[in-house]
Amino acid sequence: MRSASEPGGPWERPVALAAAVCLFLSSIEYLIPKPLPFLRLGLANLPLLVCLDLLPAGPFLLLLALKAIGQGLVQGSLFSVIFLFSAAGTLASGAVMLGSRRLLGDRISLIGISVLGALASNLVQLALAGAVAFGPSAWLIAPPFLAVGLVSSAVLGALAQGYVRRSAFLRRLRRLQRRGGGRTLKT
Amino acid sequence: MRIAGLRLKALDLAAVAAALAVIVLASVRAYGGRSGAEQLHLRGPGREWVYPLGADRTVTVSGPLGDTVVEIRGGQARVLSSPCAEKICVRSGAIARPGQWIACLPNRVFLDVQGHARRSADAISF
Repeated sequence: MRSASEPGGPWERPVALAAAVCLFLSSIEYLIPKPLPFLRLGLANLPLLVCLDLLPAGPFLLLLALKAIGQGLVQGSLFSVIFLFSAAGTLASGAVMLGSRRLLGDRISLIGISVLGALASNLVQLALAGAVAFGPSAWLIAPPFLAVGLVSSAVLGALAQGYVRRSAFLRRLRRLQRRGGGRTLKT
Repeated sequence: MRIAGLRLKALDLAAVAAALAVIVLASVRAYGGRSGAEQLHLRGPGREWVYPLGADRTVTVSGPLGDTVVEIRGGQARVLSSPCAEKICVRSGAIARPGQWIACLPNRVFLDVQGHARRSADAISF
């Protein structure tokens, strides 16, 4: 898929754009006051959902890493234990989202994929919190944490699904992709 | 099934159901069925300590007469020695179940087991 004229390959630009949107949404999320620390929206996952059917696995993994790093930068947690938690959660949810799309294809929409991804991310973070920081009592917070994740991920999935269906930008992108084999993906 | 103009697929509902199942499991694990976590509440004059009954240790509580030695071993607690005259606390034997207690009034030491009571009969006769 690599082309000679673009050293990063044809996916460099779309990945960079999506990562930038992740960074932007991370700061929006950071702006929104949270009554409790675990009441998160997960806005930065929107670009991941939108890009799931756009990017091949490799660039998607790169986007996951960039999203985690961007989130760490915005939250100021890049060099703390918290970053390990969030990076592990992002990786887990990304792997589950990719896997469920590969396995289930069109039989699941971005809503279900988002719910599964959030579940994976939250479970991994709880397991890490239990293993590293708080011991078994970390699971006391599991039910409300997972419930909030279920609701917010379903809403985000619906947003992503609606965007993917209606976006003129994505339509143009897909057309370009078909015509130029990815080469002309100018964003 | 359509919600807000979006078609929900069967597997979407399955994903939501799976998440709900995990939440229910986590709730049961977090808030219910923890009968094995008995604690020994140990009170001396003006102070109180809480120990898990599961971890073996020996604790010394000082009272007005001297030191009362309490031993936690094998999920049971007993008073090993006491400076009091009657030694009722020592002769009380071991306690293990929630609700059981040992008191040493002369030395002002009280210990009882707290936790979720397992439903069991005190005695059964036929």
